Amino acid sequence: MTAILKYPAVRTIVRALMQILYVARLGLTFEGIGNALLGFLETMGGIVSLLVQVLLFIPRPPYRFRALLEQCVVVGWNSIPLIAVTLGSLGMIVMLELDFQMDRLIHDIRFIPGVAGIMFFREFGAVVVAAMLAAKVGAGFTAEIGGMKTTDQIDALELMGVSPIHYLVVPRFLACVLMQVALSIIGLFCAFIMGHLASIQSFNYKYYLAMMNQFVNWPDFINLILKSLALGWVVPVVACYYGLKCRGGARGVGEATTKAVVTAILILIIIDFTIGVIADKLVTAVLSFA
Amino acid sequence: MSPVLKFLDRLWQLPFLLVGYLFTWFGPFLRELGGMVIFFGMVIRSMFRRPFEWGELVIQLYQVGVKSVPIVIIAGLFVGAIVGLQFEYALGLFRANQYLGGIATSGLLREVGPVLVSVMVAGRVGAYITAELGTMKVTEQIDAVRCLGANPIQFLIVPRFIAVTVMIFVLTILGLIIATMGGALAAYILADMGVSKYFAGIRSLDAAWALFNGMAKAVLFGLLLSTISCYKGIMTEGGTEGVGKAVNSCLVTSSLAIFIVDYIIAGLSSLTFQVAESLLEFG
Repeated sequence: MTAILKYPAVRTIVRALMQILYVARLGLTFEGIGNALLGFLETMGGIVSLLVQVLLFIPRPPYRFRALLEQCVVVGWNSIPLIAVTLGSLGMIVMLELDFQMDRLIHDIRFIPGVAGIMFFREFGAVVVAAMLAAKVGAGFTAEIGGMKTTDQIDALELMGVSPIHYLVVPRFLACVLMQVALSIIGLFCAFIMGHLASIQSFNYKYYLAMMNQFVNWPDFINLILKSLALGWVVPVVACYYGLKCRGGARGVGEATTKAVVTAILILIIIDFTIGVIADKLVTAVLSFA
Repeated sequence: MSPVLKFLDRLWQLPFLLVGYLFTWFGPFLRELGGMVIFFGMVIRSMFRRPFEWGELVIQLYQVGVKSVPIVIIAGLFVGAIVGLQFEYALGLFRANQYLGGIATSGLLREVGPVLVSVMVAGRVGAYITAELGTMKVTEQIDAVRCLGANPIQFLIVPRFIAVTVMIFVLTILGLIIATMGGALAAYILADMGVSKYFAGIRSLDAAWALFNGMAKAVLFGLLLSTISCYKGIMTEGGTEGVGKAVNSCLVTSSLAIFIVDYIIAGLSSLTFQVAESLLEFG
């Protein structure tokens, strides 16, 4: 046993493991748990209070239409290639996988376009677009605003009597919510077309459309739009929160970007799950009532 | 020249302009791809050089793996539940509810699990590694390492590369277990379907193939993510803003790569499964 410890590689590993145990022990004390809880509550409170501040600032004049349009170009137009490629390959993947699964498990491939349509409309249209926006736009917002914060440009804005939330966050918020809806529809269109192209050997377009028509209806489209409105606020608010909070030069900006993306995607998933449960329960309740 | 003719002349040029536009985008793309391949080769070559940084490797494994566990657990649980819910709704429309377990589990193992874990880990870890290496690059610490006569790829990048590749594999296993449990839980609580009935719908050959598929995807995604994040980190330029831009482009590139590679593997696997099944039937 002691003979192994003579090798330098083993000694370094043991030393590193002891270091890690020392670090991990801190997380398991009562103080560590309390600190983690406090940090979580502080983050959630900060995000919600930033959202409320933004909503209160929206109706106030000066309206900065030019900034809004610039942000719309940054958020919407520049993201179209990413959304088109991602959702297009997602549509092909869904058709391939459903074809495979339904053939093996149910031995019946008639309903595949319908099930794929439900997946596109109810799930992927809004959520995948929001997650891609978190990676593309949210990280950019945090890096931009964090860079301003570390070079004291935010303090300069406040000195001039301009609220940084009104000047920086409100145009990004509005642009993100509007463009989220538009990009969801564009992405849905791409997934629809590419899904058809991937399954063109099995279904001609008449059958594809007829199946879609049978399974998907106007309520699903309204569901998509409402869901993208409900998810659209997450990315700009979380990204701007971490950008406004970050400190400590280049390293701080990088850490803030990481945290912003992860927090935004987690909040998106949890909100999506809640909406799914509540929407289904509401529909069943209304149907049983009527 | 009349305006109509001028317009027609412009129209004639339009396809060539479009092709030219395509090539302006294509050149940087090819350059980036070539840079990544060369970088990957350099990393693989310096992986077997003599002083191997064991301590750094263990610390990076801790940073990448252990610290991502809560995120993977939360995301896996909720996404498994979402997949279970949506398939329950879709299958309920043509009364195929008893197949819910098989379809949801197979979909989770093959597609949703590996992609979800890779995207989450890209957000958490890829960005962390890009930010750290980028900060080192813009504050000229990497040049300092080189000045000391050490190889920065061997000392800084090889441990991170191995840590990300190994830990995505391990975290995918964890995420798949959690997501399957989340799907069963959602079916039990929200759809009144017993857990044994849920799991009875899984066909054994399909599940084994799906698991193999998901694991192969996890290995490939791990190699992709580690290459992209280390490459983007070490190519950072331009101060504080450059670090933010590098993180952003790391995230965009890795999510694009994940989706495209996922499609390619899905196409290949459905072909190979038919071959495997026919071999099993006749052999």
